Amino acid sequence: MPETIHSRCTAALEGALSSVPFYRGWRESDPGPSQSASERLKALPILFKKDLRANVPFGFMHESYDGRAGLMSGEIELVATSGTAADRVSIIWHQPWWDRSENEAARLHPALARAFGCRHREAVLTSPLCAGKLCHVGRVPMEERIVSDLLFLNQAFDPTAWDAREVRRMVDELNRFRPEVIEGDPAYLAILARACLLDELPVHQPACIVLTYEFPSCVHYRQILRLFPGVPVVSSYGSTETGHVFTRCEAGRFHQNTATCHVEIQPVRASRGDVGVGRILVTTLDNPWFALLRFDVGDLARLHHGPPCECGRTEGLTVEAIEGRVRDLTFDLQGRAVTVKDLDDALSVAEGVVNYQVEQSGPRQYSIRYVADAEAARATAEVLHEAMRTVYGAEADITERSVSALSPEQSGKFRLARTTFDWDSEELFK
Amino acid sequence: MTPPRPVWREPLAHTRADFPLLERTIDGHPIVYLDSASTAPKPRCVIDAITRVLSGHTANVHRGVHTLADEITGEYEAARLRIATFLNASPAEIVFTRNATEGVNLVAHGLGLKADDEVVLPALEHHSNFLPWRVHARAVPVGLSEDGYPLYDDVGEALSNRTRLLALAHVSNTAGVVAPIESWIATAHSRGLPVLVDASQSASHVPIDVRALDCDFLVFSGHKLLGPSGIGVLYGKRELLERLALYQTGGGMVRYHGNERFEVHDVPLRFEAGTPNIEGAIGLAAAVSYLDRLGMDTVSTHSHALGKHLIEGLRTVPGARVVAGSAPVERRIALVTFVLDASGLAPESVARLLCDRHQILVSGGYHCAHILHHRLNLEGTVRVSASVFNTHDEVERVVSALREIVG
Repeated sequence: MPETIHSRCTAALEGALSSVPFYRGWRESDPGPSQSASERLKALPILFKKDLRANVPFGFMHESYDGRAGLMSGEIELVATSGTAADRVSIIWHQPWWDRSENEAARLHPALARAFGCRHREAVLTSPLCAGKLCHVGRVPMEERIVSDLLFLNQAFDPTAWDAREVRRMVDELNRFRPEVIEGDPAYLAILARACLLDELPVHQPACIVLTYEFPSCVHYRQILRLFPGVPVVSSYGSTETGHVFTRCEAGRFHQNTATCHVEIQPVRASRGDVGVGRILVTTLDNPWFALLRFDVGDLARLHHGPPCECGRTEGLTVEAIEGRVRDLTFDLQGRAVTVKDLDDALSVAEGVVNYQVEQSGPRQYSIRYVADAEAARATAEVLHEAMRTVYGAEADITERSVSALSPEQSGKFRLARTTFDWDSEELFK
Repeated sequence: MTPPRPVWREPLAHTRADFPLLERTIDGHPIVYLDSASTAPKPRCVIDAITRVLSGHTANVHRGVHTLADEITGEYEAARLRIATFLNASPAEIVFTRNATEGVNLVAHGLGLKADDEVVLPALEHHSNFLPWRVHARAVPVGLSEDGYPLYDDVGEALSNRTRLLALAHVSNTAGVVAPIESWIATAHSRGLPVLVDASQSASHVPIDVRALDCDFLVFSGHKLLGPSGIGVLYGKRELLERLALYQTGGGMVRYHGNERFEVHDVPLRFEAGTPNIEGAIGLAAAVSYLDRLGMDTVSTHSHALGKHLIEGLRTVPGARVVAGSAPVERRIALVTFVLDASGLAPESVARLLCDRHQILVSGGYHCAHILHHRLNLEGTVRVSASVFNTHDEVERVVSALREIVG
């Protein structure tokens, strides 16, 4: 019988319930084989990061696998995540599974499929923390930053501290290395793009650009597209724990990487937000070293309803958009959740903005700090004020402040929105 | 038949109630704090001393002419006296610094070293007692054995007619072994050379008597000695301190400042420019008093016992290799670094795992001792370091957790 996503999903579910230690306590929630794999998964509890923390390294490993031998030999590694969506956690990393996940996800966009279809050079631009081990900080010669066909460009924790010499160094390296693919954190790539555009530096044009590591804002997209006109820019969504989960197709929608994961979207409660949006729960397939069932990544997506996507892909889930992190939600005057995507769409009308951060300090108090082209700064403040009113409500108390730079967080990631008060994220999904 | 579990003496178990941090939980479980070599939890008396200064005694020292200023100046100088007594020194020989690092830098700067002058030190020294010497002179490291134990006896071979000073940790922050500082001091003094001792790791584990040791300079940080961060001590023989060049200039260190000249205060105030860390100094004095009340001999006995227990426990963990494992066990304090022979388990991963799975807090990485790790060809180590409040039961827990990790 040919394998289908459903049969592989069933195998992953039954394998995990029967022989992965952590899921022993979940067996009684399983309605059994009379139901579809999707229905059976829906009946199970949700796996959270705190569960990973408490049960790594062997709690998520199939019993027939010898984790200790794997760690001794280096076949698997215990690695820490970057801590973008929540606290850092340790996971079991199996490189061949990750490579497969990446290659299969690349098949969901023609430009990526072409590049990943053969050996290719790739330049990576992100926080040195995200690029595996922290070994590229400071002044490391280019040769030492090339691992196989990968060039790690960045050497600084804070890209807003890149000076003209550092920008020129990265551009020179790109022009010498001539990668087919540039994989970048959109905020980092946007900063590099803006600097190159201001200094009119000619930059090597790759076959495609992959945006990953964090939510790609419209303001970042705009700068990247200006520097790389005509180059396909593909958004890829995933995490260290789950591998590559969604790839944005040529028609602009995200398609699930059915080769290595099953995905559910658990909707936000109607009284607290848009039910079209929900949190992303991932079940990993064919990774017996680290089997995740219904893992809450900490991010949100908006499901696609309606006719099949114009790109023709029908397998797995299609989502209209990745909506950002749960912890980056803010709330309008009615207390309803506002996703980063909601906010970003509204703020994209301010043409001169190159980066921003919104902060909600109370039920009605909002502030936005933004970086803008100098000549546009004053007009931009008014545009942003109006855009924020449309998102949060006409009576919202909004302040704007133009700043020269916005720095990333400890994790190396930028945060587009935040609240300064604590709130219960679980309550949104009850 | 299972052998009977040893009965460990826990002479300082009662101190656990003094440390509010030990009430912390992670994921609902109480923590096991074994990272005091990095920074130590603070007993209630230290927290109270600082709070008392900030809430009821805020004023500047050595400047004011009102009651509160008089009170705080008295307390600040009493703290200096308290710390001097702890080391068997004179208050005039105690300079308050930010930390041990600043103490070493102050001496390295003040000695007026030239680029081709040499400072002899063990190769495993912390960056803080290595880089200042590299910046101001030439650092000449004494070798290491294959497992990272310094070849202290080779110090004579490292000396030359360019040697200006010997610098060494009383207890290395990676090896956890009490160094033979007496023999280094004797060797140095026989050639008319001064010695700087870094007591950052030792001061809260073993008694220190600077007069008996006859050391010339000694530094430590408050935060590793149960005191607050941002305060440290430089001890120096008075005549040597007086010969050091000024480190920083500004308010508080000057007696007279006219159009033509200025006159600085005597030591130690000439090295304390600007408003000092007043509450830090008073908090540190409270920490020192706390250790004195426990009795440094008792503290030392407990530390050696925990160190021995750690070493013996790690010998039962498959694949565990201890840095300086060949060092005599009786010279160990409760600080051990090691690696696990498992290429998929980096030291940072082991440290994170101990925290996430077992709520045991240890360090993982290079511990500011890159030269040591490079020489041993190690990409980091795991460090377990105890303090007065730790128990043998906690040592058993970390050993059991490691055994569980590697099987």
